[in-house]
Amino acid sequence: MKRANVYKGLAAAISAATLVGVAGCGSSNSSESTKSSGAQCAPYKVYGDLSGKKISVYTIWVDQEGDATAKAFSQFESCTGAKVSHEGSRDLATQLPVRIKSGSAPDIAVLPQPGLVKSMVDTGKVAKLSKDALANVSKYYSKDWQDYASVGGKVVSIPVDANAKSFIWYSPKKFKEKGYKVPQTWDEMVSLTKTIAKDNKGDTGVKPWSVGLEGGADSGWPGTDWLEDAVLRFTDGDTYNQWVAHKIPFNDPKIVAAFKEVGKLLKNTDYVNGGFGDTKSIASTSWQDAGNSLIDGKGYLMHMALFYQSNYESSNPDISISPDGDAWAFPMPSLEKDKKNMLGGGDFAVAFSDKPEVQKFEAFLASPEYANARAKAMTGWITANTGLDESLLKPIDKLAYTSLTDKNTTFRFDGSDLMPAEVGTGIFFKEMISYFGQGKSEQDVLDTIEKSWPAGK
Amino acid sequence: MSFDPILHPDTTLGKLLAMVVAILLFVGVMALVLFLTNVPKNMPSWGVAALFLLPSIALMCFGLLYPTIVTFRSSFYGRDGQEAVGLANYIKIFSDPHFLQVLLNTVLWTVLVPLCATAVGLLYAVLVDRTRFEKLAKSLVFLPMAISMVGAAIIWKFVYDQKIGLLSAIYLWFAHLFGSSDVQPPQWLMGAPGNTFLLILVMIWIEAGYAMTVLSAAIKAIPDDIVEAARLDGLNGRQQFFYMTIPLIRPSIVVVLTTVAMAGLKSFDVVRTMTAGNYGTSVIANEFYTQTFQYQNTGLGAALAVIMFIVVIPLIVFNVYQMKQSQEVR
Amino acid sequence: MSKKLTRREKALIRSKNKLSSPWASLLSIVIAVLWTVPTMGLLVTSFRQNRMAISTSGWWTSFAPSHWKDFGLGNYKAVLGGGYNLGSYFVNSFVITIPGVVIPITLALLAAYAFAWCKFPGRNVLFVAVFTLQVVPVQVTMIPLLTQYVNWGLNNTFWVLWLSHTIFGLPLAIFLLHNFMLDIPKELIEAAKMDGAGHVQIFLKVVLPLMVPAIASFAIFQFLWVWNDLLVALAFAGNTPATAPLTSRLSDMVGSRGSAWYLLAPGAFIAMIVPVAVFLLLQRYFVRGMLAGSVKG
Repeated sequence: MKRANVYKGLAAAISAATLVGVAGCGSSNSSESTKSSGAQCAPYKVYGDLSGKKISVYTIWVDQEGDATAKAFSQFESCTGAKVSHEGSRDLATQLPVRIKSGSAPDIAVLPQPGLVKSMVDTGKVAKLSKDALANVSKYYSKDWQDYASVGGKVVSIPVDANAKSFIWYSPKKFKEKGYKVPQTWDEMVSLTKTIAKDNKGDTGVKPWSVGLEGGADSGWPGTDWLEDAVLRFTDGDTYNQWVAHKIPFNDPKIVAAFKEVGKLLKNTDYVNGGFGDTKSIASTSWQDAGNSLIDGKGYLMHMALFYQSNYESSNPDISISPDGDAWAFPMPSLEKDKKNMLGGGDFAVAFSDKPEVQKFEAFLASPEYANARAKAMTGWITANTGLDESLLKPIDKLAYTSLTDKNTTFRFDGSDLMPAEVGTGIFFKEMISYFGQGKSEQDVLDTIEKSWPAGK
Repeated sequence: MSFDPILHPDTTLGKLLAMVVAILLFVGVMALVLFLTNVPKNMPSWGVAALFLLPSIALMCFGLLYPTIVTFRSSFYGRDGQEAVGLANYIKIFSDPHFLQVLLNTVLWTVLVPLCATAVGLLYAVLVDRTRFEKLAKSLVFLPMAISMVGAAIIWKFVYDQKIGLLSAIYLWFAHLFGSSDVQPPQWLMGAPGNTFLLILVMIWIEAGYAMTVLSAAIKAIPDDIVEAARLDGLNGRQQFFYMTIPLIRPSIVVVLTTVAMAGLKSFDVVRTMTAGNYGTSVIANEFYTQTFQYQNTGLGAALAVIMFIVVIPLIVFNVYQMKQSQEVR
Repeated sequence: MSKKLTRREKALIRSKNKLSSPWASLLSIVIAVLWTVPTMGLLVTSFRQNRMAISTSGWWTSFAPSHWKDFGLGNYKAVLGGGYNLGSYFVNSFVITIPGVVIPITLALLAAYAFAWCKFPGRNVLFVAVFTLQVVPVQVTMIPLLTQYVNWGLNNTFWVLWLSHTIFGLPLAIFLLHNFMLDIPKELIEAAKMDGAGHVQIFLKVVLPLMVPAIASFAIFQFLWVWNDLLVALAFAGNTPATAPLTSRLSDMVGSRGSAWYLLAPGAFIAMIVPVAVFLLLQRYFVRGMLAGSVKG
């Protein structure tokens, strides 16, 4: 979904206060960097001497995440002599088009989804990536990711970070207590659901699943992830692509069938909504609160991207996130045990300038140096860059990173991020809300979305 | 010489200095305007008006009128402003049931928010006027005004939430009182059309402070001798309110009604943060924002903005009528 | 017109005019309570340190003695400490707001005076046009204005923020101040004219002093709007420590919405302190009877 990264940013920002003692102002305006050399600068030699050059970078990363970003740029600044000014704003998606139309585009902007990359390219203001940047992208990113960074078959952006979304959060401690096992297939997941429901039959407050869709202006997106995951599992990767690209109707019978599998779990009052109420409460529960149920034992399972870790960290620093702790996650199982499917998202950097220093900076953003510097600056962050040094990641991030770079996993980009904004951030969200909040049927929901798909897109 | 320290100050002192420079500059310009007005003997009335109005009108033409004209123009164009589409955007708005619901909600907002906020504000201003706790009492109702819209939305989450909301607690309390113990409070913000009224209530809660403050200032401007006369005529509190206070501050009431209506029409923060326009609660301002910035559909967004202007027309008529009346009185 | 009332007479009026009916007192208390309770919820929440409990139990449940240990200043410490560096953003807010209030009010006073006391052709039409401009949403002006600011090389400075806040504040300011200006008795202006005063003298010596309560009440609101603004600052000056106001820092910290109530609640209260202080300060100027007795009978 469009704003997943924004939320990740938000959640991470909140938690980061407890993680790293970051001082100083948010968006960096680091003091005049003086060029330095030495062993640390060896990998930066390729960017040459950029003394006195200025590069402006506009991203969605604010607060602690913004500070970490600035920190990740600092080595580049001190080794090349360039000055990188970073500005973060959560309203980038609305502000950037305004700036472009007003003639004040930044040199580099980091966009929260591929759909936005395409509309930026459509403005005609996006500069071609430099040769060095393209070389890095093709060297360090898988074919899938190169495709997501492309518009019209050409790589136009750099996937600067990533997240993994097809995960089910659970409490290893509670599972051990009750003797539940992590399911390996969809059917096992369904029967685990039944078991949990049976074990808690008498207790109306406790249910197997905890689901929350509410999230202010972007309410509904966790629901889209549920449907996308089901489509990817109950059809196949190709059908998923066609569905997302609207090559098959949004309400294709195959999609309806997949959606009904979601309904079997989430529209059953015996299975939801742990800690929050009935099916309807799914629409009004904040997705950020949903995971609290796993900790206080009112719910056992929650489908949510791995960036949810920062919500736990912020809601209670005592919660241990580890394979035998209070909270951990397993990949959402597929129909068969050895078939792995993963949905994910990411942020993409595009350039609006072809100044030489900007071109050098593009290459840097696609390099392992940036990936490692950023991973070091603050945890809770991963990238699809295969040059990343895994030892820098904490366990939960490693879990995400592995799932994104594993060759045997069918990886698909979050579909709502690829759809036109009217659908991917609009009607799709709203209809998932109606599905739970107003009890609409699967067919109804998909029909409505199909009907309002913008013409010519 | 470089203007950089004044344009881009980077220290606290520099920023304060830039502020002082700006104010001095402004004072200089104002002094010049007053001087120019004062120099010619027998400056005609329209000449004074021209000089007094010039700065404001120029700024508003540049910053408000010109963008408005651009908006009118783009409302007849497609999503990227390139291709003329005639009335297509308007036809879409008036034929789509979703947008018709939005229009209805907007009318509700524009009517109910000013009426209720002004009524509460006026009543409260009169009730606490001249009492011992006036300042404290007024501060309490003013508080919501001081909270940002987003803050207000947070506050009301603690009222409307099904689980932890105060309204749910009150509902349950009443339910227990009447003997039904096993009930669930409703999902307040999900049920149309009640949810729209609950959101309007939030806006009334915010704007009442504004109404109270302005009307209180107007009440205080009522000369004491008039109050004295009313008292001597034997008017009781309620009669004073209806026969003295209201007629005397009538122009202020009109002003408050108008400005609150405009605020209610323009505001979308409450809707956006509380329901995101779901469950049939959306208003034009929210749709305008969504279309223009989220979907980058400039044409449709502009048409929605133009409709906001159309909604204002009755307000303009009302004001012109009131102006004529008061000019006759004067 | 009667002569100026004596202090004793005024006291008499006050006592007589006091809420005589218990119903009136009750009503005002009911309104005050209704208007305060929601905010109370936030205030109580801001002191609840059990982050989990905030989103799972009603705020009033924390009054139970067993929950008292949850109360504390931890949330405020989390917002004010933790290297958020609110101080420099506070300075920015201050620097943005002062001219953002002074300039539009001054300009609007001149304009309102012209509308109220100068006769010129097309006055009513122009006035209606001005007040209609209130409805223009800031969002439609962003691209045209920013384009100009970029052309002038002034984007990302305080200067465009002052200019923008002035522009957006003017229609309402003129509308409101014009209304109060009409309350000034015609006789006063006429008398000053007879004494040979020009418009400038009348404006400065007669009208301005009488407008103090009106200016104070409008100043409160212009202050609030500028102080609480996020959009204008973000659109024209960006979100950098050089110009960003406190609101954008707070919004970065806590997001527009989230489960981080423990940061949101104290954040909202910290942001409220200054506007409330300004309200209390300017309330002193809501003086009764500025006009009463000023017209000598």
